[in-house]
Amino acid sequence: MILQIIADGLIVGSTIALGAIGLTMTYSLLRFANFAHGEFIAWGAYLALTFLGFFIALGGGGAMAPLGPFSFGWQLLAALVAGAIATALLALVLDWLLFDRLSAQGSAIVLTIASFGAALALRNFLQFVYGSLPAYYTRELQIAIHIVPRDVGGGLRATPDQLFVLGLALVLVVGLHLFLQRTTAGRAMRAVAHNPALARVTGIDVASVVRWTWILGAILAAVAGTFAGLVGQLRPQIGFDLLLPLFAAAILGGIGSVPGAVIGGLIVGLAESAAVPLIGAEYRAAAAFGVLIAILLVRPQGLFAERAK
Amino acid sequence: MSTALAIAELEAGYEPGLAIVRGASLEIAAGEIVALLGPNGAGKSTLAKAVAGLVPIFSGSVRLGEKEIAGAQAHLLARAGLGFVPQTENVFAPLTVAENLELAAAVAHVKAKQRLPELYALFPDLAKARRIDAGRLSGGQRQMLAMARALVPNPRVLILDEPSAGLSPKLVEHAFAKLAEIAASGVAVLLVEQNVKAALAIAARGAVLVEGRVHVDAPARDLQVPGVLERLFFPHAEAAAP
Ligand SMILES: Nc1ncnc2c1ncn2[C@@H]1O[C@H](COP(=O)(O)OP(=O)(O)OP(=O)(O)O)[C@@H](O)[C@H]1O
Ligand SMILES: [Mg+2]
Repeated sequence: MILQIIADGLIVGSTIALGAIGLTMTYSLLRFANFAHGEFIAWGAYLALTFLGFFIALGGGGAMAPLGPFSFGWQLLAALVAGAIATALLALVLDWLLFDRLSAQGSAIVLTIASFGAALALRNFLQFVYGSLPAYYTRELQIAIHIVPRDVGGGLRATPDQLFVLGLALVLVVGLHLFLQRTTAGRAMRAVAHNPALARVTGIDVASVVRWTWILGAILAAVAGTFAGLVGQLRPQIGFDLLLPLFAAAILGGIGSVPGAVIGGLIVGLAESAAVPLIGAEYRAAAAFGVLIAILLVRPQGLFAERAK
Repeated sequence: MSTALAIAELEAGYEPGLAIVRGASLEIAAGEIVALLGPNGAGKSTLAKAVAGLVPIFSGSVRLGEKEIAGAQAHLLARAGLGFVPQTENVFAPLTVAENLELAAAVAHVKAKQRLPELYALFPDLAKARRIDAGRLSGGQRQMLAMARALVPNPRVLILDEPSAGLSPKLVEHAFAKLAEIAASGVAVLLVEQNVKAALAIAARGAVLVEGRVHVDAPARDLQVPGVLERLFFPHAEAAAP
């Protein structure tokens, strides 16, 4: 039982972590809480659905031939990439239309409220385009495989899709970490987050770094959305429902810290999955709220606060 | 000698219609150190930031060599040969010393493998600390890193805003000796300073900024006469005295 709770928590948590990374990166560069980030997750998931249909049609239609043990074929992987690129474009358009203009004069609160409005518009537009009925990438049924037998810690079962989600999330997080630590673009991002004026006089094109931050955040959000759709179902509220866990994770980890967002995401995921046997499945969503309240009371700067100011 | 930086009738400030720098003019030749002095709030930092592209310029001209640069974006100025060391928070604290310098080299398309050893030779203290996060450096080391970072792209002009702030007299002497060395290699240095004595000791000229205007621009030795600067800093004091 306990192992199963941990495994479920990590799977949910990896989706939350990918979303929280984008949220925390936007915050650390632009200094505002982007409520529209959840909608990047939802749009990413649905855009992938559209591209999936396109790639299946391209392959001659019919059913998608699964790859090995997974429920999906190459078409979903292609749709994941295409959906992520399209979501990045969506984020750039939103920045150009809204945030870039407002940040020229507006304060953080103006940007935050604007992002709230953008979130509403994006969510309603999504519902208008795709309808409000749940959708699925694949109707293929998956058998959970025994990873740990039942007599050890209650046993552990997971579907190959869940393991795929966990594995790819790990690869992305490690890749992002290396990008931020080792590459010039990544270091420039950290430099701008630390001190934009100093970054400019060092020769860094801050506007371009900001654009790349939107692109990266949106890509990770789209992947998170596709993951959520893959291990669950697609609903237009998928992003909105993740918003609270995302904020809880980002604040828990220390806003602005990418490793913090990852750890925070996993902790919130674990709290959600532990809440099911402890207080009942209907209160699962309250777990993130509980974590958020607890962290604000005990350590408001978060676990890995980068700027202790 | 050729003029490296020419500021003429510069007006600049943080909000439209509220000029802090009000018609300042100043020229610096290659290899020359000019000290920019003046009372608190005179607009010295604002002038330095305006030239570096961080504060809006309302009118007037700034020329880097032959090129008009007033209103150009800060990151392009940095790449075009204008180095600026801000007064505070002048290093990237979460990055190591080496990463600070490598980043500056990469964005300026300078080969770090060639340039960093030269800078480590100029600042041996940094060579020893290259793997340390810049946020954990001592005040003196941090100031050296800030200077080295600005020097990475081989700037023609180096502007420093109070590099002596927070340093012990011994460290000030050390830092200013480095500055003299840098200027001797042909870099034009604009040195904004409160530490008048130390600044005039290495500067060829001193310019006194009062209320956003350069009131006096004179050879350093003329300004080292006791009492002269006090009168220049507070031009109305005598009239007010009984
Ligand atoms: N970021 C800012 N926004 C608005 N006004 C500012 C800002 N920074 C400085 N000022 C104002 O500009 C004026 C000149 O400040 P500045 O920092 O240029 O003076 P300074 O000569 O460098 O003084 P000090 O010797 O104390 O460093 C001051 O009246 C100050 O209040
Ligand atoms: Mg100042």
